[in-house]
Amino acid sequence: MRRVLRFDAEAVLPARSRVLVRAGVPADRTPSHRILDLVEKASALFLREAVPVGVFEGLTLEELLAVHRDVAPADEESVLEHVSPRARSLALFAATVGEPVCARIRRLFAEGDAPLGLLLDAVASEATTGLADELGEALLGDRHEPGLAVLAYSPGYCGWPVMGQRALFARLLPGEIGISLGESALMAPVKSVSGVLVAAPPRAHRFKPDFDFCDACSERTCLERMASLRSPAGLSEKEGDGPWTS
Amino acid sequence: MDLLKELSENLRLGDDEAVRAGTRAALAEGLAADDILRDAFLAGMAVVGEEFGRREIFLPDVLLAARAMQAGMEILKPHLARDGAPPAGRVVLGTVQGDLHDIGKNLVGILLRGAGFEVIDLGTDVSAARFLEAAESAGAQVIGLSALLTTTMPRMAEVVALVRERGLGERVKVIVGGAPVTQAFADGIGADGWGFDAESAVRRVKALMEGA
Repeated sequence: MRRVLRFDAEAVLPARSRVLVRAGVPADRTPSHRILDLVEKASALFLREAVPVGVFEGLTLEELLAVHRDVAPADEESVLEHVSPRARSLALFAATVGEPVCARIRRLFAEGDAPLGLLLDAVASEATTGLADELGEALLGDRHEPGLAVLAYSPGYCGWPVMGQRALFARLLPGEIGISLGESALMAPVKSVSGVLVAAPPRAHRFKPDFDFCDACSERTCLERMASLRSPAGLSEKEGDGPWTS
Repeated sequence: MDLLKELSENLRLGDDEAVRAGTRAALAEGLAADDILRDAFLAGMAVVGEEFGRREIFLPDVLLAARAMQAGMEILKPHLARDGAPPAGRVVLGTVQGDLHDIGKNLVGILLRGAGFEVIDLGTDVSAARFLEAAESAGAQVIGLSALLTTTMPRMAEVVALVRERGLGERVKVIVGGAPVTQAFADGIGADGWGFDAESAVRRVKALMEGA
Protein backbone atom coordinates (compact mmCIF):
# COMPACT_ATOMS: atom_id res chain seq x y z
CA MET A 1 0.00 0.00 0.00
CA ARG A 2 1.59 3.29 -1.12
CA ARG A 3 0.02 6.70 -0.85
CA VAL A 4 1.10 10.16 -1.94
CA LEU A 5 -0.63 12.95 -0.08
CA ARG A 6 -0.58 16.63 -1.01
CA PHE A 7 -1.60 19.17 1.60
CA ASP A 8 -2.71 22.76 1.64
CA ALA A 9 -0.08 24.87 3.38
CA GLU A 10 -2.78 25.97 5.81
CA ALA A 11 -3.25 22.39 6.98
CA VAL A 12 0.33 22.15 8.22
CA LEU A 13 0.88 25.72 9.40
CA PRO A 14 2.13 25.26 12.96
CA ALA A 15 0.72 26.94 16.05
CA ARG A 16 2.34 30.22 16.98
CA SER A 17 3.45 28.79 20.33
CA ARG A 18 5.49 26.04 18.65
CA VAL A 19 7.05 28.49 16.21
CA LEU A 20 8.12 30.75 19.03
CA VAL A 21 9.76 27.95 20.98
CA ARG A 22 11.56 26.77 17.84
CA ALA A 23 12.79 30.34 17.29
CA GLY A 24 14.25 30.49 20.78
CA VAL A 25 11.46 32.09 22.79
CA PRO A 26 10.75 29.90 25.85
CA ALA A 27 7.16 28.76 26.26
CA ASP A 28 6.76 30.57 29.57
CA ARG A 29 7.91 33.95 28.27
CA THR A 30 5.94 36.69 26.53
CA PRO A 31 7.53 37.75 23.26
CA SER A 32 7.68 41.37 22.18
CA HIS A 33 5.20 42.72 19.65
CA ARG A 34 8.08 42.89 17.15
CA ILE A 35 8.57 39.14 17.44
CA LEU A 36 4.84 38.49 17.15
CA ASP A 37 4.79 40.63 14.00
CA LEU A 38 7.63 38.52 12.62
CA VAL A 39 5.69 35.33 13.32
CA GLU A 40 2.71 36.69 11.41
CA LYS A 41 4.88 37.73 8.45
CA ALA A 42 6.70 34.40 8.44
CA SER A 43 3.42 32.48 8.56
CA ALA A 44 2.07 34.52 5.64
CA LEU A 45 5.23 33.80 3.65
CA PHE A 46 4.96 30.12 4.44
CA LEU A 47 1.36 30.00 3.25
CA ARG A 48 2.44 31.64 -0.01
CA GLU A 49 5.50 29.46 -0.70
CA ALA A 50 4.94 26.03 0.84
CA VAL A 51 3.95 23.00 -1.26
CA PRO A 52 3.66 20.28 1.39
CA VAL A 53 3.65 16.72 0.13
CA GLY A 54 4.32 13.32 1.61
CA VAL A 55 4.47 9.65 0.68
CA PHE A 56 4.19 6.53 2.78
CA GLU A 57 4.33 2.87 1.94
CA GLY A 58 3.44 -0.05 4.16
CA LEU A 59 5.88 -2.83 4.84
CA THR A 60 6.20 -5.90 7.03
CA LEU A 61 8.31 -6.09 10.14
CA GLU A 62 10.85 -8.26 8.33
CA GLU A 63 11.09 -5.74 5.50
CA LEU A 64 11.51 -2.88 7.97
CA LEU A 65 14.23 -4.68 9.90
CA ALA A 66 16.05 -5.35 6.64
CA VAL A 67 16.00 -1.60 5.92
CA HIS A 68 17.02 -0.75 9.45
CA ARG A 69 19.79 -3.33 9.66
CA ASP A 70 21.44 -1.97 6.54
CA VAL A 71 23.42 0.25 8.91
CA ALA A 72 22.30 -0.85 12.37
CA PRO A 73 23.45 -4.40 13.16
CA ALA A 74 20.84 -6.69 14.70
CA ASP A 75 23.00 -7.25 17.77
CA GLU A 76 23.11 -3.57 18.63
CA GLU A 77 20.25 -2.01 20.52
CA SER A 78 18.05 0.63 18.96
CA VAL A 79 14.66 2.00 19.88
CA LEU A 80 13.14 0.86 16.60
CA GLU A 81 14.24 -2.76 17.15
CA HIS A 82 12.29 -2.74 20.41
CA VAL A 83 9.21 -0.81 19.32
CA SER A 84 8.52 -2.18 15.85
CA PRO A 85 7.77 -5.82 16.83
CA ARG A 86 4.74 -4.52 18.71
CA ALA A 87 3.40 -2.50 15.81
CA ARG A 88 0.03 -3.12 14.21
CA SER A 89 1.09 -1.20 11.11
CA LEU A 90 4.41 -0.05 9.72
CA ALA A 91 5.12 2.32 6.87
CA LEU A 92 8.19 4.04 5.49
CA PHE A 93 7.53 7.70 4.86
CA ALA A 94 9.04 10.90 3.54
CA ALA A 95 7.63 14.40 3.36
CA THR A 96 8.67 17.91 2.55
CA VAL A 97 7.32 21.46 2.65
CA GLY A 98 9.03 22.03 -0.70
CA GLU A 99 12.03 23.82 -2.12
CA PRO A 100 10.42 27.28 -2.58
CA VAL A 101 10.21 27.80 1.19
CA CYS A 102 13.82 26.68 1.64
CA ALA A 103 14.94 29.01 -1.12
CA ARG A 104 13.04 31.88 0.43
CA ILE A 105 14.75 31.28 3.79
CA ARG A 106 18.16 31.37 2.12
CA ARG A 107 17.25 34.57 0.27
CA LEU A 108 16.10 36.29 3.43
CA PHE A 109 19.42 35.62 5.11
CA ALA A 110 21.36 36.59 1.99
CA GLU A 111 19.43 39.86 1.77
CA GLY A 112 20.16 40.70 5.41
CA ASP A 113 16.71 39.95 6.83
CA ALA A 114 17.86 37.40 9.38
CA PRO A 115 14.96 38.00 11.81
CA LEU A 116 12.35 37.04 9.23
CA GLY A 117 14.63 34.28 7.93
CA LEU A 118 14.86 32.79 11.41
CA LEU A 119 11.10 32.88 11.93
CA LEU A 120 10.32 31.43 8.52
CA ASP A 121 12.86 28.69 9.24
CA ALA A 122 11.07 28.00 12.52
CA VAL A 123 7.66 27.85 10.81
CA ALA A 124 9.02 25.55 8.10
CA SER A 125 10.77 23.25 10.59
CA GLU A 126 7.66 22.87 12.72
CA ALA A 127 5.51 22.36 9.63
CA THR A 128 7.86 19.64 8.40
CA THR A 129 7.52 17.81 11.71
CA GLY A 130 3.77 18.29 11.47
CA LEU A 131 3.76 16.60 8.07
CA ALA A 132 4.98 13.40 9.67
CA ASP A 133 2.05 13.64 12.07
CA GLU A 134 -0.37 14.14 9.17
CA LEU A 135 0.96 11.06 7.40
CA GLY A 136 0.65 9.16 10.65
CA GLU A 137 -3.00 10.15 10.92
CA ALA A 138 -3.56 8.94 7.37
CA LEU A 139 -1.92 5.61 8.23
CA LEU A 140 -4.18 5.28 11.28
CA GLY A 141 -7.18 6.10 9.12
CA ASP A 142 -6.26 3.32 6.75
CA ARG A 143 -5.89 0.93 9.66
CA HIS A 144 -9.41 1.44 11.03
CA GLU A 145 -8.35 0.18 14.44
CA PRO A 146 -9.15 2.43 17.40
CA GLY A 147 -6.76 2.88 20.30
CA LEU A 148 -3.54 2.99 18.33
CA ALA A 149 -0.93 5.75 18.47
CA VAL A 150 1.44 6.59 15.63
CA LEU A 151 4.94 7.90 16.12
CA ALA A 152 7.61 8.49 13.50
CA TYR A 153 11.14 7.17 13.98
CA SER A 154 13.84 8.66 11.79
CA PRO A 155 17.43 7.85 10.82
CA GLY A 156 19.85 9.94 12.82
CA TYR A 157 18.00 9.39 16.07
CA CYS A 158 17.74 6.76 18.78
CA GLY A 159 20.38 4.36 17.53
CA TRP A 160 19.43 4.45 13.84
CA PRO A 161 22.46 5.96 12.08
CA VAL A 162 21.75 8.81 9.68
CA MET A 163 23.26 6.77 6.83
CA GLY A 164 20.20 4.57 7.27
CA GLN A 165 18.58 7.10 4.93
CA ARG A 166 20.20 5.26 2.03
CA ALA A 167 18.35 1.99 2.51
CA LEU A 168 15.16 3.88 3.31
CA PHE A 169 15.39 5.94 0.12
CA ALA A 170 16.28 2.89 -1.96
CA ARG A 171 13.14 1.19 -0.73
CA LEU A 172 10.69 4.11 -0.64
CA LEU A 173 11.86 6.09 -3.69
CA PRO A 174 10.67 9.51 -2.50
CA GLY A 175 12.06 11.05 -5.65
CA GLU A 176 8.47 10.74 -6.78
CA ILE A 177 7.61 13.70 -4.54
CA GLY A 178 10.81 15.61 -5.21
CA ILE A 179 13.01 14.53 -2.29
CA SER A 180 16.56 13.43 -3.05
CA LEU A 181 19.41 12.23 -0.87
CA GLY A 182 22.97 13.50 -1.08
CA GLU A 183 26.17 11.59 -0.41
CA SER A 184 26.30 12.68 3.19
CA ALA A 185 22.68 11.55 3.73
CA LEU A 186 21.45 15.13 3.53
CA MET A 187 17.94 15.39 2.11
CA ALA A 188 16.99 18.00 -0.44
CA PRO A 189 14.88 20.07 0.01
CA VAL A 190 16.44 20.64 3.43
CA LYS A 191 13.04 20.95 5.09
CA SER A 192 12.21 17.31 4.61
CA VAL A 193 11.62 14.45 6.99
CA SER A 194 11.76 10.69 6.55
CA GLY A 195 11.60 7.54 8.60
CA VAL A 196 9.14 4.87 9.59
CA LEU A 197 5.65 5.35 10.97
CA VAL A 198 4.84 2.89 13.70
CA ALA A 199 1.17 2.43 14.57
CA ALA A 200 0.93 0.57 17.86
CA PRO A 201 -0.80 0.65 21.23
CA PRO A 202 0.56 3.68 23.10
CA ARG A 203 2.44 1.62 25.65
CA ALA A 204 4.43 -0.03 22.88
CA HIS A 205 6.13 3.30 22.13
CA ARG A 206 7.42 3.75 25.65
CA PHE A 207 10.98 2.93 26.59
CA LYS A 208 13.57 3.90 29.13
CA PRO A 209 16.01 6.33 27.50
CA ASP A 210 19.09 4.67 28.91
CA PHE A 211 20.55 3.11 25.77
CA ASP A 212 24.25 3.68 25.14
CA PHE A 213 23.48 6.22 22.42
CA CYS A 214 21.29 8.23 24.83
CA ASP A 215 24.41 9.57 26.56
CA ALA A 216 25.32 11.61 23.49
CA CYS A 217 21.81 12.92 22.90
CA SER A 218 21.18 16.54 23.82
CA GLU A 219 17.64 16.74 22.48
CA ARG A 220 15.73 14.10 24.47
CA THR A 221 12.64 14.64 22.33
CA CYS A 222 11.73 11.03 23.14
CA LEU A 223 10.49 12.13 26.56
CA GLU A 224 8.10 14.71 25.09
CA ARG A 225 6.95 12.24 22.46
CA MET A 226 6.21 9.55 25.02
CA ALA A 227 4.47 12.07 27.29
CA SER A 228 2.21 13.04 24.40
CA LEU A 229 0.83 9.51 24.18
CA ARG A 230 -2.33 8.90 26.15
CA SER A 231 -3.81 5.56 27.08
CA PRO A 232 -6.97 5.21 24.97
CA ALA A 233 -10.22 4.88 26.86
CA GLY A 234 -11.25 1.29 27.33
CA LEU A 235 -7.86 -0.22 26.57
CA SER A 236 -6.94 -2.61 29.36
CA GLU A 237 -3.49 -2.65 30.85
CA LYS A 238 -2.94 -6.17 29.53
CA GLU A 239 -3.95 -5.35 25.98
CA GLY A 240 -1.14 -3.59 24.20
CA ASP A 241 1.13 -3.97 27.18
CA GLY A 242 4.80 -4.27 26.44
CA PRO A 243 7.86 -4.65 28.58
CA TRP A 244 10.00 -1.67 29.39
CA THR A 245 13.21 -1.96 27.51
CA SER A 246 16.47 -1.19 29.17
CA MET B 1 18.84 62.51 25.07
CA ASP B 2 22.42 62.39 23.89
CA LEU B 3 22.55 61.55 20.16
CA LEU B 4 24.69 58.46 20.60
CA LYS B 5 22.64 57.17 23.53
CA GLU B 6 19.47 57.62 21.50
CA LEU B 7 21.06 55.84 18.55
CA SER B 8 22.16 53.00 20.81
CA GLU B 9 18.66 52.70 22.26
CA ASN B 10 17.02 52.62 18.82
CA LEU B 11 19.48 49.93 17.78
CA ARG B 12 18.60 47.94 20.89
CA LEU B 13 14.93 48.26 19.97
CA GLY B 14 15.61 47.00 16.44
CA ASP B 15 14.33 50.16 14.74
CA ASP B 16 16.12 50.19 11.36
CA GLU B 17 14.70 53.51 10.20
CA ALA B 18 15.50 55.32 13.44
CA VAL B 19 19.06 53.94 13.35
CA ARG B 20 19.55 55.14 9.77
CA ALA B 21 18.21 58.58 10.65
CA GLY B 22 20.24 58.73 13.84
CA THR B 23 23.43 57.71 12.07
CA ARG B 24 22.99 60.45 9.47
CA ALA B 25 22.26 62.95 12.23
CA ALA B 26 25.35 61.94 14.21
CA LEU B 27 27.58 62.26 11.14
CA ALA B 28 25.98 65.60 10.30
CA GLU B 29 26.82 66.76 13.83
CA GLY B 30 30.45 66.02 13.06
CA LEU B 31 30.82 63.00 15.31
CA ALA B 32 33.65 60.68 14.27
CA ALA B 33 32.59 57.46 12.58
CA ASP B 34 34.59 55.22 14.90
CA ASP B 35 33.03 57.00 17.92
CA ILE B 36 29.57 56.28 16.50
CA LEU B 37 30.55 52.65 15.91
CA ARG B 38 32.03 52.21 19.37
CA ASP B 39 29.73 54.32 21.54
CA ALA B 40 26.42 53.69 19.79
CA PHE B 41 26.51 50.53 17.69
CA LEU B 42 28.85 48.28 19.65
CA ALA B 43 27.68 49.69 22.96
CA GLY B 44 24.07 49.01 21.96
CA MET B 45 24.88 45.46 20.86
CA ALA B 46 26.77 44.88 24.10
CA VAL B 47 23.62 45.78 26.04
CA VAL B 48 21.64 43.48 23.76
CA GLY B 49 24.15 40.72 24.48
CA GLU B 50 23.80 41.22 28.21
CA GLU B 51 20.02 41.22 28.06
CA PHE B 52 20.12 38.07 25.93
CA GLY B 53 22.49 36.46 28.41
CA ARG B 54 20.04 37.28 31.22
CA ARG B 55 17.21 35.80 29.13
CA GLU B 56 15.36 39.13 29.18
CA ILE B 57 15.22 39.11 25.39
CA PHE B 58 15.46 36.31 22.87
CA LEU B 59 17.23 35.40 19.66
CA PRO B 60 14.76 37.16 17.32
CA ASP B 61 15.25 40.38 19.35
CA VAL B 62 19.01 40.04 18.98
CA LEU B 63 18.67 39.60 15.23
CA LEU B 64 16.40 42.63 15.00
CA ALA B 65 19.05 44.70 16.79
CA ALA B 66 21.79 43.27 14.58
CA ARG B 67 19.76 44.10 11.49
CA ALA B 68 19.29 47.65 12.76
CA MET B 69 23.04 47.88 13.29
CA GLN B 70 23.69 46.73 9.75
CA ALA B 71 21.24 49.37 8.53
CA GLY B 72 23.33 51.98 10.28
CA MET B 73 26.60 50.43 9.09
CA GLU B 74 25.57 50.88 5.45
CA ILE B 75 25.70 54.61 6.12
CA LEU B 76 28.69 54.54 8.43
CA LYS B 77 31.00 52.21 6.50
CA PRO B 78 32.32 54.67 3.90
CA HIS B 79 33.29 56.98 6.72
CA LEU B 80 34.93 54.17 8.69
CA ALA B 81 37.12 53.27 5.74
CA ARG B 82 38.42 56.83 5.70
CA ASP B 83 39.04 56.83 9.45
CA GLY B 84 40.71 53.42 9.27
CA ALA B 85 38.96 51.91 12.30
CA PRO B 86 40.09 48.28 12.55
CA PRO B 87 37.70 45.36 13.17
CA ALA B 88 37.77 43.42 16.44
CA GLY B 89 39.11 40.52 14.42
CA ARG B 90 38.60 38.56 11.21
CA VAL B 91 36.70 35.31 11.15
CA VAL B 92 36.16 32.93 8.25
CA LEU B 93 32.91 31.03 8.60
CA GLY B 94 31.41 28.15 6.67
CA THR B 95 29.49 24.92 6.71
CA VAL B 96 31.76 22.00 5.94
CA GLN B 97 31.90 20.02 2.74
CA GLY B 98 28.87 17.86 2.05
CA ASP B 99 26.60 19.84 4.34
CA LEU B 100 24.10 22.51 3.35
CA HIS B 101 22.68 23.57 6.72
CA ASP B 102 23.41 27.22 7.34
CA ILE B 103 21.05 28.78 9.88
CA GLY B 104 23.39 28.35 12.84
CA LYS B 105 26.37 29.60 10.87
CA ASN B 106 24.38 32.61 9.71
CA LEU B 107 23.43 33.45 13.28
CA VAL B 108 27.05 33.25 14.43
CA GLY B 109 28.07 35.55 11.57
CA ILE B 110 25.43 38.10 12.46
CA LEU B 111 26.37 38.14 16.13
CA LEU B 112 30.07 38.40 15.31
CA ARG B 113 29.44 41.40 13.05
CA GLY B 114 27.37 42.89 15.84
CA ALA B 115 30.41 42.52 18.07
CA GLY B 116 32.62 44.36 15.60
CA PHE B 117 34.24 41.44 13.82
CA GLU B 118 34.80 41.24 10.09
CA VAL B 119 33.23 38.02 8.87
CA ILE B 120 34.09 36.24 5.64
CA ASP B 121 31.18 33.84 5.14
CA LEU B 122 32.04 31.14 2.62
CA GLY B 123 28.57 29.64 2.64
CA THR B 124 27.93 25.92 2.64
CA ASP B 125 29.63 22.79 1.31
CA VAL B 126 33.06 24.34 1.80
CA SER B 127 36.21 22.26 1.36
CA ALA B 128 39.06 22.34 3.83
CA ALA B 129 41.31 23.86 1.19
CA ARG B 130 38.88 26.71 0.63
CA PHE B 131 38.70 27.48 4.33
CA LEU B 132 42.48 27.74 4.50
CA GLU B 133 42.73 29.77 1.33
CA ALA B 134 40.19 32.28 2.61
CA ALA B 135 41.78 32.50 6.06
CA GLU B 136 45.26 33.10 4.65
CA SER B 137 44.03 35.58 2.08
CA ALA B 138 42.01 37.58 4.62
CA GLY B 139 44.54 37.36 7.43
CA ALA B 140 41.83 35.79 9.59
CA GLN B 141 42.55 34.82 13.15
CA VAL B 142 39.69 32.34 13.48
CA ILE B 143 38.02 29.75 11.27
CA GLY B 144 34.51 28.80 12.37
CA LEU B 145 33.12 25.47 11.14
CA SER B 146 29.52 24.32 11.19
CA ALA B 147 28.16 20.81 10.61
CA LEU B 148 24.67 19.48 11.19
CA LEU B 149 25.21 15.85 10.22
CA THR B 150 27.32 13.17 11.89
CA THR B 151 28.39 12.20 8.38
CA THR B 152 29.94 15.61 7.71
CA MET B 153 31.54 16.22 11.09
CA PRO B 154 34.75 14.38 10.08
CA ARG B 155 35.38 17.21 7.59
CA MET B 156 36.07 19.44 10.56
CA ALA B 157 39.06 17.30 11.45
CA GLU B 158 40.36 17.83 7.91
CA VAL B 159 40.37 21.59 8.40
CA VAL B 160 42.16 21.33 11.74
CA ALA B 161 44.74 19.02 10.19
CA LEU B 162 45.29 21.35 7.27
CA VAL B 163 45.82 24.34 9.58
CA ARG B 164 48.55 22.35 11.35
CA GLU B 165 50.05 21.09 8.13
CA ARG B 166 50.46 24.67 6.91
CA GLY B 167 52.09 25.66 10.18
CA LEU B 168 49.30 28.13 11.00
CA GLY B 169 48.22 26.66 14.32
CA GLU B 170 49.51 29.58 16.37
CA ARG B 171 48.03 32.27 14.14
CA VAL B 172 44.70 30.70 13.11
CA LYS B 173 42.35 29.14 15.64
CA VAL B 174 39.53 26.76 14.72
CA ILE B 175 36.16 26.75 16.47
CA VAL B 176 33.45 24.18 15.70
CA GLY B 177 29.73 23.94 16.26
CA GLY B 178 26.45 22.42 15.12
CA ALA B 179 23.77 20.25 16.67
CA PRO B 180 25.67 16.92 16.78
CA VAL B 181 29.02 18.55 17.63
CA THR B 182 30.13 18.23 21.24
CA GLN B 183 32.98 19.50 23.36
CA ALA B 184 34.38 15.98 23.41
CA PHE B 185 34.35 15.86 19.62
CA ALA B 186 36.01 19.27 19.41
CA ASP B 187 38.73 18.15 21.83
CA GLY B 188 39.17 14.90 19.94
CA ILE B 189 39.94 16.60 16.64
CA GLY B 190 42.14 19.24 18.24
CA ALA B 191 39.85 22.20 17.63
CA ASP B 192 40.59 25.33 19.64
CA GLY B 193 37.01 25.93 20.65
CA TRP B 194 33.43 24.70 20.57
CA GLY B 195 30.20 26.68 20.52
CA PHE B 196 27.08 25.11 21.98
CA ASP B 197 24.97 27.81 20.35
CA ALA B 198 25.55 31.05 18.44
CA GLU B 199 26.01 33.11 21.58
CA SER B 200 28.55 30.78 23.15
CA ALA B 201 30.39 30.56 19.84
CA VAL B 202 30.84 34.33 19.79
CA ARG B 203 32.04 34.31 23.40
CA ARG B 204 34.57 31.64 22.50
CA VAL B 205 35.80 33.60 19.48
CA LYS B 206 36.32 36.66 21.69
CA ALA B 207 38.23 34.51 24.18
CA LEU B 208 40.40 33.06 21.41
CA MET B 209 41.17 36.57 20.20
CA GLU B 210 42.26 37.48 23.70
CA GLY B 211 44.59 34.51 23.69
CA ALA B 212 42.63 32.40 26.18
